[in-house]
Amino acid sequence: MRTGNSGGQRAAAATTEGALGAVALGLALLPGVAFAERVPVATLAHGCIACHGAATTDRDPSIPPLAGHDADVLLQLLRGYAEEDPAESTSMHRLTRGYSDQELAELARHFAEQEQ
Amino acid sequence: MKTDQARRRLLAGLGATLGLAAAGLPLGGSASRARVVVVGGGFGGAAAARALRQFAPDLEVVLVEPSAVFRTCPFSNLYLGGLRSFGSLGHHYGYLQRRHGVRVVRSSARAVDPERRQVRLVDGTRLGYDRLILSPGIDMRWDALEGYDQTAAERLPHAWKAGPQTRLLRRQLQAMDDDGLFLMVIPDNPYRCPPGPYERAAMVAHYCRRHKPRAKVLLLDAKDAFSKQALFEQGWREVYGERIEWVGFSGDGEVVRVDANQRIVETAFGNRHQADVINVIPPQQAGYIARQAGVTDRSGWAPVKAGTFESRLVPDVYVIGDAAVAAPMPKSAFCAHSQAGVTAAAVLASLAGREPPEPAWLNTCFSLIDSDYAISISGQYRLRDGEIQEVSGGVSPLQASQEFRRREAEHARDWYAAMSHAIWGA
Ligand SMILES: Cc1cc2nc3c(=O)[nH]c(=O)nc-3n(C[C@H](O)[C@H](O)[C@H](O)COP(=O)(O)OP(=O)(O)OC[C@H]3O[C@@H](n4cnc5c(N)ncnc54)[C@H](O)[C@@H]3O)c2cc1C
Repeated sequence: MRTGNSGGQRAAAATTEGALGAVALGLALLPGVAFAERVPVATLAHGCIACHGAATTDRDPSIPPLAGHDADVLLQLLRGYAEEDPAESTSMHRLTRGYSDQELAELARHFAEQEQ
Repeated sequence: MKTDQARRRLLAGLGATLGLAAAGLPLGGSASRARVVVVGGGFGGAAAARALRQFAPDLEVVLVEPSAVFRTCPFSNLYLGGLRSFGSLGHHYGYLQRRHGVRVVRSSARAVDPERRQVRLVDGTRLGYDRLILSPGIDMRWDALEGYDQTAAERLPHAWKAGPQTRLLRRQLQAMDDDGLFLMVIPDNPYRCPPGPYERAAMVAHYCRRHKPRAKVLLLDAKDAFSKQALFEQGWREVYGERIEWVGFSGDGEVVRVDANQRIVETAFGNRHQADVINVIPPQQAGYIARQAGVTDRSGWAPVKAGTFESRLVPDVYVIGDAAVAAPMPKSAFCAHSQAGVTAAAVLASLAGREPPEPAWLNTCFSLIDSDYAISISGQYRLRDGEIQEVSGGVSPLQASQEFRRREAEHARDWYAAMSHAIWGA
């Protein structure tokens, strides 16, 4: 989640630009991409933040927040979960196997771009 | 390239934005602003309201909810067990209103008029909508179990909506004799939170271990199998020995009649059980407003289009959370939140006159066996051949170290914090 207001202001400015603003969670900006083929990254990320939200406790959370990590590191981790049942994983591997590699890459990039 | 990047950044995620003023879209008349009304400020509704505003900051989002404080069912079993305070279950709507720009109306929806696209509130106010999302949760079916009505529930609490009922059950547990019997009546599927009764059994046993050393917990179940059964049975035994006894349908576990005054329940084969505390979890149905709006069928639940959760019966009305028929997704808070994200995107697409984006849903339900012992079930769901299907998932392993169980207990706590923060927090 973005902290501070600048994101919101930029966002507001962008939407008042009007007719070109697009509804569709990123996808509408990519003409030619059929909706049916891809899950918008915002939808995917909405699932993740149910557990991996902002840090809300003082102690080290057992479920890490995802914002601001290096995209490659994150992607490697996610791929690891998807490919096997690493001893380190409790439930991540059960969920990660359901994503395509492209989706994992988009998620990693998405969270890397967010402020911590 | 540069603008592309800027756009990407803008769209990066939940904190960012998806302009609603899509391709030449006149939304809701001259104001060019659409209004989405959301009924119910629980897991599904509050999450939907927030997601809508995040995806489309220009959208007018009105959330109708009668309570100033929402009490979560998740972790209410921990309150019964003495692991959490009652206060810790409460969440306010202040951030949704001030920070996320959701207009929160503190009232109950009494009726929906789909022709005029209006929601009527109990005080008579009418709220027009372009799209309506209902997430009213469940109502008890007071006619389903002989002898169990609202008056009986004051003596034999269900505690299946968090609030006064939960406190009542806790008080009864505290007042129980040292060697008392705690009896739970468990319904057949579908009902809110499939593993909930079995987690509750563990939490009650947890409380008794310390405070009612000779007390027993008896579960009378209308079905023969339940969620995470092997893990629960193993955990109960490991942690609480013989304290918890489960009787399924084939063992005459189905309760057909209750006598609240005498604190007796009667099974299908006429066996009568008397107990000191009786927790009756009755059969359930979609919340009243869903039934009133005409989105439910004879099952009492709301059939929805799989990709969007738009009602199959009433156009432009979406039903999410426990009220919807979403199998194989369980009726869980996690699923309600997940459905809220997918449906928010679908509602925006619909307002823009576009096809809905491809959906993906998640679930994970943790159940506490002990303060440092939890088990879980997870699933990812996609649309396949027009139906919701689990594409990956699983449960905790039966063979696992104490450390593994402890880690899952920590995950459960972190999940609760993250989830409530993602919905009601800053
Ligand atoms: C003991 C127990 C433990 C649980 N533990 C977990 C868990 O660990 N993890 C998990 O994922 N799930 C858990 N659940 C399940 C979870 O509580 C539900 O699945 C979840 O609350 C469903 O969300 P919802 O939005 O459908 O309904 P709710 O969260 O119940 O929200 C419904 C809201 O709608 C409002 N409302 C109803 N009618 C109207 C009206 N006419 N007008 C305005 N507002 C209205 C109500 O006031 C309420 O605030 C548990 C449930 C129980 C009973």
